[in-house]
Amino acid sequence: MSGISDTERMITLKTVEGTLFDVKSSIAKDIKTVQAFIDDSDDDVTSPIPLPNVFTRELSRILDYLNNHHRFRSDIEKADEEMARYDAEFAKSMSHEELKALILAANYLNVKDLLEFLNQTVADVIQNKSVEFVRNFFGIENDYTPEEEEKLRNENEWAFNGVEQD
Amino acid sequence: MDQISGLPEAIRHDILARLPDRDSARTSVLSKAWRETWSTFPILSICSDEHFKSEDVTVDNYHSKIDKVIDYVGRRLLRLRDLGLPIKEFKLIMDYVDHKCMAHHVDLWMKMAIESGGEVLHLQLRLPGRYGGRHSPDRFYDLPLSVIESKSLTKLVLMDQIRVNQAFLTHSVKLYSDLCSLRKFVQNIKPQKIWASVSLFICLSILTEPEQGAFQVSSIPPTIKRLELQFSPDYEAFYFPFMNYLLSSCCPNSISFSFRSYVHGKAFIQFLYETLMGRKEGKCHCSSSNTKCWWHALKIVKVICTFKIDENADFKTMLDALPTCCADENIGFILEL
Repeated sequence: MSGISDTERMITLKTVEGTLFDVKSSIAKDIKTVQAFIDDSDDDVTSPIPLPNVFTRELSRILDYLNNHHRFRSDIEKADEEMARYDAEFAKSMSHEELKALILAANYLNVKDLLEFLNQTVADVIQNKSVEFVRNFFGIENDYTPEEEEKLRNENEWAFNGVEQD
Repeated sequence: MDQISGLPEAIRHDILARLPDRDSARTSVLSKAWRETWSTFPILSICSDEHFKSEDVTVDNYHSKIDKVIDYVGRRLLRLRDLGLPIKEFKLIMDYVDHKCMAHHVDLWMKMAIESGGEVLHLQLRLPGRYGGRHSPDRFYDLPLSVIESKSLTKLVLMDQIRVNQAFLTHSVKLYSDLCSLRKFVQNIKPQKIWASVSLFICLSILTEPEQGAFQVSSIPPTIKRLELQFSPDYEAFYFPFMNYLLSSCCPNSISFSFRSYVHGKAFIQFLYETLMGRKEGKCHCSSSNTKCWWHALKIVKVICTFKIDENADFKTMLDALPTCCADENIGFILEL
């Protein structure tokens, strides 16, 4: 027991495709769904924890995000600056489809910080943009008749003044 | 299903919560699914200047402009009520409020928010001077008692022309108050003894026009449980007026500070400490009158802090040990008369 105390315990996670990821227990703490699984187990978790809703691509990105954020936090001096730069890159590198898949995975795994960051990314896209822009950007299908849409726009007329038409 | 409409509703609500009200209102036009998301969104944040620009308001169009806002707020609240959903947060910031035509609407909205189990209420009703005399003899909105009695409310923010006439009962209420109206606010609450259980949070100060007679107190102001300052004056010249104003409005059992940054705040904390300890010669109003300010009679000023430090450490050492940028740690005073 005492022999392994100085090296951090590792947890193994298994994605839908069956890919295995070894994760430090300090990182696993930020993945609330995994942590709850560990807490509920009576014995030490030694076999891989199955994640039936999470794909390899998303888990690898989430772990990348968490590892980097842990690293930034250990260096208080530059933490905010580097984290902001990393986050901006992270947001830019995602396609809309990836963004959505990542939100769903972060939601299922209950990774609070990341989920908030991703939701903010979506909000930043929507803010100050016209309805047409947002529909195009996310591929949202307009299921209103022209009359219905006109009526709604009139009801919320105030919300349409001075919106960027790009 | 497109990439984003298929997200769970809780996530779409979280996205809406990150947008100004007008941007979230526009999402209702995206598609039927988004309209559903928007109309079940339990956070209402209505700011009249998102609806009309104050420079466009004239005496003639005032009512038609404000009626549209009233209509909008009513529609959204009713929709939530019809669906049996709580109005979790209700933030109402209105300019140009004519209390005669407005008060009963606000009463009803408050009632709906409270009855639905509302948690956060932020009410800010402003009335610029030039409309004051003409439209509204009564410039204050009386907060309904039901708001104070609410069990679900966790945060209440009241700003500008609002007052509480009735008893606060025995609830411990946190008030985020604009400093200019603080004094009036404190005086308007009866019976005054209920203040003993109240914590006051001062989150910002606009000390541009101190009220007439603000610095002439003849008796000790109401005792409150705690005064928490989330703001400190920038310039040393404002230290004294700021402190004088606060302490002549209320008599706190304890004072604590939670600044975002203590870089400049430390000097103010030190100033306050030295004044309370009677080590500073101030321009108190009592220097020219017979009544002494209550804080000159303080027996004990005890310094408390949330971080670990040697118990015998003096004030200066404690202040130096306070981190300059970390809001988790703070320092405060317990005052005993």
